Amino acid sequence: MADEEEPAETDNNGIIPVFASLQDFLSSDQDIREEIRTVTRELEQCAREVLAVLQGVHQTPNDEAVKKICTKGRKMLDGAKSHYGRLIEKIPTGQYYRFCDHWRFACQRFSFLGAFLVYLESERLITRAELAEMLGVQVERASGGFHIDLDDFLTGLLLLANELSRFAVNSVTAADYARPFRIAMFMAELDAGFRLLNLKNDSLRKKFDGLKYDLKKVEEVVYDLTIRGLKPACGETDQT
Amino acid sequence: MAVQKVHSRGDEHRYLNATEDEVPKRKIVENSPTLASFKDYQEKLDSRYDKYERLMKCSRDMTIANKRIIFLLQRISGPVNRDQIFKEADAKFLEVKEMLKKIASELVDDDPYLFNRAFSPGIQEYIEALSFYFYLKYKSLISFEEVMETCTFSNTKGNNLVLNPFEYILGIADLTGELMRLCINSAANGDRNVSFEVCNFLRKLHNTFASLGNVSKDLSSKLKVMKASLSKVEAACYTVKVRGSEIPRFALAEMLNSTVVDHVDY
Repeated sequence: MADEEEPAETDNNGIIPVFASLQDFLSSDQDIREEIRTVTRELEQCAREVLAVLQGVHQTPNDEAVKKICTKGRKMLDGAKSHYGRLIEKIPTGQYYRFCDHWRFACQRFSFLGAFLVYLESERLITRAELAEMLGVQVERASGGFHIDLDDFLTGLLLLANELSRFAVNSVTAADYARPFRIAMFMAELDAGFRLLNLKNDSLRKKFDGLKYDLKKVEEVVYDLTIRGLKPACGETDQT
Repeated sequence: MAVQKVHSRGDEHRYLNATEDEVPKRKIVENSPTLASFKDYQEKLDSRYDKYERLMKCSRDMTIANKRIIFLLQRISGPVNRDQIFKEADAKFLEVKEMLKKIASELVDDDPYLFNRAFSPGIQEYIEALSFYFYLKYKSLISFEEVMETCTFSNTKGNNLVLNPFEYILGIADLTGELMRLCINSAANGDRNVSFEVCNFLRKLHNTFASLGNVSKDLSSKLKVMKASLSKVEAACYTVKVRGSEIPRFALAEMLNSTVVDHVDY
């Protein structure tokens, strides 16, 4: 542009050199984003595949089948490590939050999948360290590098609550009357946990507001079982 | 849960267990690992949100201070002592520098991008004020590197505020609005040369911005505003050129100002 308008343009008030260097920054920014988008697409595909496997528990909620599904799910989740590895390579060091909107959705899904898997395996809540280990990422930002943002982790837990409310219903259909009681207890604890948080008016808060409906659904299942005398003897329901 | 209790009371003896169940349950809830980890999450979220709020407050203070600098600088087109105005502006920029330092100290050990939305508006306003000052003094565009230098407080890397080129671009986009006002005021004060200079500068700036391409949503909306400012300036220059010699100065001033108001209201 400067060349075309020659003589008058020699005094360009410093505009052109200033923007030339910015243009480089902008195009490299675009390039990085493009690469990140490609990798996150793979990551999301992987999440969908794992989800498809784990959803199998709704069909066959008996212990043996669940165990099999867990083994398979864990193996597939292992595949996510390599995707995360590739994603980490693309991000300039220390700039996680510059690009984090790209992988936020995938991280929420994986937080949920990890939490679901751990719940199915041992009926307890996943920790951030466990999830990080599962996905091959860091636990905290402080340790440098890629981590699962706390907001995304918590969103994943809320997705878990939603899935478990469904699981409680389906367990009853499959004549497993003990599981809904255990799920109810777990969810009550999860709810108590979330109540400790001082959430801002953001998307996490909105998802948290939905937790009470999941809780209610499970409590209704528990209620139905209880008044119909379908509740198993005490020893079977809790703290096994 | 309460509903469940009432109903189970009427049932056979063993369903009374349902109420007893709740006793151990409450105990578990109190010292479970789940709750312990949530307490940890609570702390982390709180400290993050607090920091966000503090930065937002800093940003608001910055915006106010920088707007005042801009108002001060706009008075330069009147019959005043330029040096005096620059001197006053310098003093105000020193205050702003303290605010920048505060933001920088909040961001030590944190990813500035995490809090970007909290403090970005203040920084953009600062870049706007600084570039306006720079233009008035040197008639050229301050570079990103020069802006960065003003945010460098010491040699140790961690203490300095690292700016984002996007903020620079957005700040400069805002500068065009101030240039428009400067152009109109100068024309109204009979300072025709300044008006034409500003018009030229603005045109070049607009051309360059237009060639940046589709960078972000923020920028494309600012580009529209910029285009509007440029049209106003061009119209004002036209008026000055055509009518400037025909009508007395005070009438010209009136006319220019009225065109501005018309456009601003659209």
